[in-house]
Formats: sequence, structure tokens, C-alpha cells
Amino acid sequence: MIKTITAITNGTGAFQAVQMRRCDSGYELLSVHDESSGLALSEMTVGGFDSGRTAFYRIKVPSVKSEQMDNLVRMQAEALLPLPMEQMELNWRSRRFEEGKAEVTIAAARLIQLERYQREMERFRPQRIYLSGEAVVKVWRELYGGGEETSAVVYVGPQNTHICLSAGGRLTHAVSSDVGRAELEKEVAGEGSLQRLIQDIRHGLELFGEEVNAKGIELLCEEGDSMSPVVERLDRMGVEVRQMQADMGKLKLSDSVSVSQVYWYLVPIGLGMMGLKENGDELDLFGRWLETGEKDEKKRRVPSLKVTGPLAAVMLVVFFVIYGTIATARLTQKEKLLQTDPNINVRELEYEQAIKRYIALQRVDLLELLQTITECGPKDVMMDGFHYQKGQPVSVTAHTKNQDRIFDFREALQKHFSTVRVQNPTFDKAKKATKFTLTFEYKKTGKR
Amino acid sequence: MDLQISTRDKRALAIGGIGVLVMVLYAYVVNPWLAHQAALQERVEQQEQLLERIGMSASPKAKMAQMLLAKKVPTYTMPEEEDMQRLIFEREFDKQLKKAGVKPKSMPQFISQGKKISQLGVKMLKIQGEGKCKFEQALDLLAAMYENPHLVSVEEFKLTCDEKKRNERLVDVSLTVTTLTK
Repeated sequence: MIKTITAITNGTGAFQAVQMRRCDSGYELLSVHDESSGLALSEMTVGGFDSGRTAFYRIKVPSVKSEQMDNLVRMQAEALLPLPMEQMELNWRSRRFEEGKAEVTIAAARLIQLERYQREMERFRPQRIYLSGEAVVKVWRELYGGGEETSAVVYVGPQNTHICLSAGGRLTHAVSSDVGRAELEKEVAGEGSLQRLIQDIRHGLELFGEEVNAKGIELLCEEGDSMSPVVERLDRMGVEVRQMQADMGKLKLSDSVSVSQVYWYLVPIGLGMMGLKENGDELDLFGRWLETGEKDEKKRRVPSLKVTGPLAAVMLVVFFVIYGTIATARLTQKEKLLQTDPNINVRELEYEQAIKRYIALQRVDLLELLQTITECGPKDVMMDGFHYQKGQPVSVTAHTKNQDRIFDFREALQKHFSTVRVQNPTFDKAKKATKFTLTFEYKKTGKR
Repeated sequence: MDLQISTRDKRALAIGGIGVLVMVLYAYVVNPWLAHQAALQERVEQQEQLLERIGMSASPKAKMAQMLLAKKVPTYTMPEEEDMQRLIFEREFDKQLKKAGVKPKSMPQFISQGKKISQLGVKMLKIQGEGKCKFEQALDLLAAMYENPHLVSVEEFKLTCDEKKRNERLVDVSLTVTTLTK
């Protein structure tokens, strides 16, 4: 369970961050920050993407299985989106509606904008990035007594104004105005900014539908400040405004935070509340960039480049040093071997070895050859002669009274030598035996 | 001047910087080191080849080759000038024939000069010896042949059985052997 959280808004308007944790009464606001320097991150960090840069579409689809629903929604979204699907990122959420149909809220934003924001937030390593409109609805429910009913919630923030539609306690649509509290307070005459804000609110209400338009808005107010110019102007235009005051019972403040600061930090507070008490069905447009759960675990298991990079560099240097040292040592050892004995005449030794190698190539083992021939000869074959000459076939002359033995002899020799041939077998009447000569190639006869 | 640099730009600059550093390191450290190592390796290989040629290499392969060489050529004396070599060799050959029990028909005779072995700068001489002995004595002669420190190889070996004295296992032996001269 997350103990402390840092919630950051870093998009339109100024940088704002809060640090919070859960407590018995609800939430405790630990600190607020209006600049990033010196901000120590908690165990979890969440960000808020301006819902004014997000397009919302509310469609009704038949209640089908969740896996079919995704295809159905994407098909419908394709027709609604102003840009091709590959340039947009979308996420949707459905809620039960009447007559077997479900109302689906689609949030979509340009990929390029999301990527830019993700890069801006990268240094804070956020685990989740929510829509700021969702944070407004969350804070409306937690601190301003908002419920399940369909309501238009307006929060005039420091730099911009969030105009959100809540249904079933969740954000279903949002628009924003670039007129914020700071601009309204600065303005002395002309009322140009106020006029713009009123128009933006009117425009938002028209988008939200007639029913909401008729009900008016719920304006989140600071304690002791009724925001009378805004209320009066809207009242004159026939828009009913219910001024909502925060119930601070659910939000415990640390000593470093005053009540007056709470109103200025409502969006990051709402983000913090979402992070501390996640429902799991938030509109998530940053899923493809932010790794959560198992992916986080995997990421933690893989050592970062900051560790492996220098380690690899050190190992590379060590490898170079060892490799160089070994090569040098080998050379030194060999040179030493040649220099140790001053009597060594390298040239003479080289010549001597060359001669020995030449002689070794010339020599054949005649004793082994004769032994093999004797072993191959059958008992009743009498040897008469043997002739070996380098470069020529070896010849063995013999005689036998049994002619079959010549074949036996030949067969036995063929197991050891190649090209065994019987030459001139002639019958000797005096000996009453067949005289013959066997020739064969001996592999070691060498070159003449 | 207040220079605003985005995270993306910073990353691009960092990658560029690392790229430049790698190139500089390669050009001034890695490449010269590799060249030095290649030269060193070449010298090591040259020395190793030299040691192999003179039979002093410590590598297992070279040791094995040296062992086989020693088995085939257990002893050898470097060649002398032709006249001296002929004298020494013929005397040693004659001694071997007699020691084996071969009754020579004549003194060992010079047959011919063989080819010149240009890569070694030596010539080959052929000497022939003939005699009569028992078959076992002929085998003894062959077994002891390579103890002659001046012998290169047996060029020709001929054994002919004496028909009349087959029971005594007497054979005529003819042997042509070679030696080297400067």
C-alpha cells in the first residue's frame, strides 16, 4: 500500500506539486510546491495532463462483452476523431445506462502532445498520469460533497478554469478556459477576461447537453470568497450557480500548509487522492509510455544503464590492459628464450632443423613393411624375394603349391596396401609349384 | 542571455557528446592501441614461428612435432664436403654391414650423385652395398640402419632367397643408401 504520494501538474499554467498521504480522517496534505527545484519525490508520483487538450466524446453502444466493447468503441471513435487513429491515443470508460445500452466516455488526445508531456514529466518518473478533469471531479466528490448525479463542475484554477461534466461520480466530459484566477484578479477594467470565462462556461454547458444546461453549475469556491463577479454575470445570463464550499474534515493539513493554499492546489490534490485511492478505471492515455505493476518489477530487476554503462567501460579497459599485458609478456618470454643462451646460433639451428625435417620425410620404415608382408603370407607360400625402390611399387616374389593361397595372400595384402597386383604367375615343373610376383603401392615409398 | 534547453535537446546534446567522445577515443586511443597490439601480435607470431623452426617452441603442437622428428631422425651429423662425407659415410655403412653379419661381396660403392636440394644447399649421394647373410641378420641391419648419423634414407632394398640354402635362410642383400654433402 502506498504511504506517501507526490502529485504534479506541469502542463498549462504554472508548476504545482503536493505531497500527501492517507490518514484516518481521509487524506493529509503534507506540503505544497510551486517550483520543481528542491522537490523530493515520494514512493509514488502521479502527473496531471490538462483535460483541455483532450477531446471527449460520449456515445451510446449496446451492452456487449468487454472484449467486443473495445472493438465497437474504437470503430465508432474512428468516425468521430478529427485525425487518423495512428495520430491519436484514446481511452474509454463505460457506465450502465438505460434500455440495455451503455454510455461510453471516450477521451482522445494527439499522440504528439502526449509524447511531449510525457517527456516533460520524465524527470519526475511518474507511475501514472491522470487527466486534470478527473482530479477536479475527484476533489469535488471528496471535499465538496459531490455525488453520483449528473453535474457540471467548475473550478477556476490559478492559471485556467476546468469545466467538467460528472456523471455517476466520474468525469464524462471536460473543457477548459485559459482564463484563471490570476488573470481575473489582475484585471481592473474592461472585464474582457471575465467575459471570455463566462463564454467558455456557457460553451461547455451547451456541449454537456440541455439537461445539464438547465441544472446550472457547481462552482468550487474558496472559503470566504464567493467569486461574486463570476456568479453575478452567470446569474444574469440565466445560468444557475451553486457555490460549493470545501469540507476540510476530510483533508488534514500539516503545519506547513494553510487553508488558503488548498484552493490553489485543488488539481494536484485531486490527483494525489486518485493515486492514493485508485479505482483502476481512470481514463489512461499514457499507458503505452508508463510501465506499471509487473513491468515496473521487471524494470527494477534490469540494472540501469547508469550502473551497467560505467561497469562495462571499466571491464573494457581491464580487458584492454590484460590483453596488452599478456601479449607483451608472451613476446618478452619468447625473446628471452632466444637470448638466454649466447651460444645459440639461430641460423644454424634453423638449418639443422630444416635438414632433419627433410630427412624425416625421406625415411620409410622398411622393417615394419617386411613384418607386415611376412604376417600376410599364408603358411604354404614360400617367399623368394623382396624388392623396394623409392618411387616404385614394392614387389614380393614367392611360390606355392596351392594356387588358392595366391588369392589369400593378395587379399591379406589388400588390407594394408593399395593396388595389389599378381604378375607373371607361372607353373614351375621342377618345383611343382606356381611362381608369382605380387606388386603393390606402399604409402611411404616417397618420391624419387 | 537566458538559454532555454528542453529535455529533448539535452538528450540530443548528451548523445551527440557521447558520440564525439567515442569518435575521439577511437581515433586517439582505441585505433592506435589496436595497431600497436596487431604489431605486437605479429612479432609474437614471428618469434613463435622462429622458435618452432629451431625446435625450441613450448607449444604442445610444436612439442609433439619435435617428438615425432626425434623418433624418425634420432641422430644426425651435419654434412661435410663431398670427399670427406663419402669417406665418413662409406666407412660407417661398411661398419654397419659387418656388425649385422652381412658378408659383403665388395666394398660399398658410390653409384651416383642425386639431385641437388636447392632449398637446403646440399647434394645427395647414393652408395650401394651388397652381401650375403641370414634373413634375420638382414632384419637386424634394417633395424640399426637409422643409427648411422650420416644416413638420409634407404633408397633401394633387395632381398633374394638363396634357393640352394633355403633351409639355412640365407639371402642375398642389396642396399642403396643416401647421404648429404655440402
